[in-house]
Amino acid sequence: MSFTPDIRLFSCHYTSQQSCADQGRELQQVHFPENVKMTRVVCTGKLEEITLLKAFEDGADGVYVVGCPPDGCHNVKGSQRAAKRVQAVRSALGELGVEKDRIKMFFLQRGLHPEFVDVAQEMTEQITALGPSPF
Amino acid sequence: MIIAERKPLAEIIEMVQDCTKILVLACRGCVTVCSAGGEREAEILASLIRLGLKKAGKHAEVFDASLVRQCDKEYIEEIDQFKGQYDAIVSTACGVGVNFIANLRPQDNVFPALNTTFLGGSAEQGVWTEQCAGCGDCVLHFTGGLCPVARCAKSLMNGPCGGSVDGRCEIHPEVDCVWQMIYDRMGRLQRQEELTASAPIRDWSTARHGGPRKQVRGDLTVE
Repeated sequence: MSFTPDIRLFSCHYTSQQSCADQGRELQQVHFPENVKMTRVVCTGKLEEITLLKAFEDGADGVYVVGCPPDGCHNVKGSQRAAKRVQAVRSALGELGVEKDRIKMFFLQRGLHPEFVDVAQEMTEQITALGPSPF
Repeated sequence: MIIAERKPLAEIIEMVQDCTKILVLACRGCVTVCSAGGEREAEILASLIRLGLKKAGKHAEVFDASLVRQCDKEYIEEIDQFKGQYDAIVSTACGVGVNFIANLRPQDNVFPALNTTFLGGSAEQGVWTEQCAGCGDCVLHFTGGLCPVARCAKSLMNGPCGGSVDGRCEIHPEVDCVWQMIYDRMGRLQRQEELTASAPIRDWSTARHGGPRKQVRGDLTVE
């Protein structure tokens, strides 16, 4: 059965700052998956658990967060806080009998590096393998 | 404050599996401070209940709200504004709050979302430790302000015991021996000789051994 996962990305403003370049066309040119819907946040430390859960309630098959490297966060500890909230949701998914890997945290350098596209493709492959959300 | 932690989700979802309209009710008292049952936690729990029930093939309307406290009658009455909107309340208050709702809302199903764990304080962000056992006969004036009832694993009144090693408890090696702390502190206060006095036999009837407790202050009652 053909399945294109609905994936939600919450990305640090700085990490994704070049994603808006040329009105987003630059992302398309580097083959950023179209099924990944990106929400830019001022800092991933601003993300709340409820925001991540609401993404699943809203129909996401997978969710991931991209923040600054732990030792290079513009707001010092923002991405570390985000990682803890992602971990909390992973634990909750586990309690609900759902694959924890439906949500992940990534730490990437600022700017549009190849890794920004790589993790989007990685998540797409992983969530495709897991199948549709059980919710 | 009262410290609590969320119950396992499977336990909570089993409680409400046959409910179709669920009110997750936060308490803005102690459980907000210890991040177990405040508005943020109730909102998260409501979402998790929706997801859990949906995964189980069930649908329920789950919404969240909060009360100033769930341990006072006048605040419990605020539940009336949600009349008809729920067939079960999942309380994220401590056990006191759940009991108050049960006492005052005899027709309502109320379920506990938390395990109430102890009376304690915040040792550091995200870490809480037990400091008081609520035993009803405080001895802190004898012990330099450190409670042997709550903080000694054996609740000894004449410690330290032989299991105190290098200032640590034999039951929980990561825990400081409170009796060692008491002796050290009383020494610093130049009051160590007070610890040689014979203590009267303790009356434990003021603790849970005397059954459920009640306190009445005539100067505050309305009658």
